[in-house]
Amino acid sequence: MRNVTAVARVGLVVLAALAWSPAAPASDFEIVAKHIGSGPLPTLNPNDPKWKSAAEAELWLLPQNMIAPSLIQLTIPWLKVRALCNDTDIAFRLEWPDPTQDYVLDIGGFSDGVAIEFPIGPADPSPFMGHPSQDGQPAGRVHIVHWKATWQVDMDKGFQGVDQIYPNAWWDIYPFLNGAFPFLTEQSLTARETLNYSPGAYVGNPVSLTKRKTPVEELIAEGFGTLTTQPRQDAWGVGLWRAGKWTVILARPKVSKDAMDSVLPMQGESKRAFAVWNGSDQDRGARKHYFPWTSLKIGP
Amino acid sequence: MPKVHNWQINREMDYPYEESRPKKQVAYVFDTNKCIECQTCSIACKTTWTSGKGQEYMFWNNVETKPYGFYPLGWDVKILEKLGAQEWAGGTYAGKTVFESAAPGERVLGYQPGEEDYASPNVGEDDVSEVVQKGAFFQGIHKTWMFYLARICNHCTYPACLASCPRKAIYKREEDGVVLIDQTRCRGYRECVKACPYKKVFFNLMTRVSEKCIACYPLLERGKQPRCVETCIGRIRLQGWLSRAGEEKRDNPIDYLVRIRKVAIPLYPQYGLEPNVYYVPPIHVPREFLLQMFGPAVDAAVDTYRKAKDDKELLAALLLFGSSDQTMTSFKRDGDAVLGYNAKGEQVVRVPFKEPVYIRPYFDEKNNVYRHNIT
Ligand code: SF4
Ligand code: SF4
Repeated sequence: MRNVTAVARVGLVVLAALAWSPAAPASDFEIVAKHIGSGPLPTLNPNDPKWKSAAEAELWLLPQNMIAPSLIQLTIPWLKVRALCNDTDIAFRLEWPDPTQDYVLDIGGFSDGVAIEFPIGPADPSPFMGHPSQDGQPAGRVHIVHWKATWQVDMDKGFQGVDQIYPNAWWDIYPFLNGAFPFLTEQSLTARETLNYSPGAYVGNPVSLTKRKTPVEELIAEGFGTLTTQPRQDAWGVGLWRAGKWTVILARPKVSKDAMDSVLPMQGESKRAFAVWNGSDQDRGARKHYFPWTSLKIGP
Repeated sequence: MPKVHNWQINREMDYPYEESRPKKQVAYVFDTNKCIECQTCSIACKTTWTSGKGQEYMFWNNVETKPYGFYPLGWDVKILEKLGAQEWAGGTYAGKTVFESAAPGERVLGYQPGEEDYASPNVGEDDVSEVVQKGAFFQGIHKTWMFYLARICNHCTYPACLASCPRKAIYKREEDGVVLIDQTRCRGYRECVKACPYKKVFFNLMTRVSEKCIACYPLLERGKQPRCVETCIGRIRLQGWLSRAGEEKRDNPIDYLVRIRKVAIPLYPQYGLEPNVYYVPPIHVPREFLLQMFGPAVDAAVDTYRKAKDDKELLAALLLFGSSDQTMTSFKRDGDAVLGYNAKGEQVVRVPFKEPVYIRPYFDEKNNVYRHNIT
């Protein structure tokens, strides 16, 4: 989907600028999280019929061009959102069109992805990673729940490293690795000394994890460039690509024990913003599609 | 955008951050005329730093044959083409740098290489500029040419990798000017891979974050030269510290070669990064090619180098190359020899201009054996 022009979105860009100012909520795109009682949420099945009972909001995405590096042209036009909650948790079902399933992180390969952002605390941070705005709004903190296609495939089929990207590759010797050729990641990179030539993993960069419990990561930010993985992870979810569409569920507790998490009311109004990445268009980081703060009603 | 001064292009230029020079700047001189493309440097680097899973294709140090060798494929010609005409007005660059020609929404003019660009690390090896015409060998000097270009990260004064990183995960060390990627902060966006015009940042397929030459900083910190310098068979390399403009010291071999004699010059200064690997240009290569690659300073550099045999002080500095594993911060000519000193002022080497020649009989009677190499 390369040809959706940004020009057609001028109206929405203006709206986005307004939405950044706390005085103007974009209520047209309101999302209502339907309360389904105390039973479990269908957080691992995007096709569960319970999802049909929640109202669907269709959000028209914008290219992130507030700051460089930016996205000049949209390749994903819309994101459809449904939300469900019970007494403790809330879950979002996110759907968007993407003809290619991009998860291979080879030299020039980037992953598809999606994220929801929540403001932390009573302050009203900008949706742009809580960055201070030009009109004097100070920096604030935001809580981000992020899913990546690569992490999903890591979970479903095993870590997508050299073994998977180049299954027929031959390499004479890997010093420090355990075992024998083909030195499968799960078996050969185990002890700390096996990471001597894997500096990212050696220093514990969360991006370098080879074993994951969920394809979802929770992060915190306080302005552009400050995005940081939270030490404590409370969110979870799943993603499924079928017939040119991604459907991803992101779930989290309304209230967690983590001071870095946003607190959602048991019932009432809050807000959230979204971001979507298209790997085949080399989206990553700030090169993303987004939708700014809009109202989230946590319903009875 | 802040304005900074770049002495290599002799003017102010745009850069996303204010000018901030390190206390001392790691710098290298590579004499291209002496490289034999043995790749000892590449292997020394590879075994030291990039032998891991996910690093297979990485060559923080590579040596390519110009004009047809590249790693990754076409790294320099692609950027030269994007940059458009690169005019110089005397010693001042009149064209645009990669920072000044960044498109809207970009921080640096660059391109994202694909995996196929790394498929042939030794493409063009030993290929010459054109076919040698039949009989040309016998008619004197023929015009066909090639040369070996050894490349590492330039630990630039204005790194494009650092400028492009939206997370500020790349930093330049205040103490020695080494440019490093914080392995805890990088999230593998590869903006740096796209931005570095020398293509000296590499994405690790296992850790999913980017890596680059670290100038063997654990060695630098102990007063030693990096692995690629220490192991160079052709003795083409010297590592040291480059002083700030106006603070040059004549007895500092790097200052002397780069700033005082100007026999070693930066590669593609027009990119605007103020790179800190300085090359003695290959003197037999056509002037147009050298001008494109090294800028207008190349004529004087070639001229000075051609006269080196009669220039004892220059010869002295050039003979320090490959003579010690220690970083030599000063040197002195002593008749027909050069003395090199480390940062503590201790003499590290004495290199005679001419090595003494010993000729031994080809038959060794004591061991009852013939000698193959009798000098
Ligand atoms: S070790 Fe020295 S001579 Fe050999 S390829 Fe490297 S730079 Fe050239
Ligand atoms: S050569 Fe490239 S990687 Fe090295 S400092 Fe300069 S811009 Fe960064």
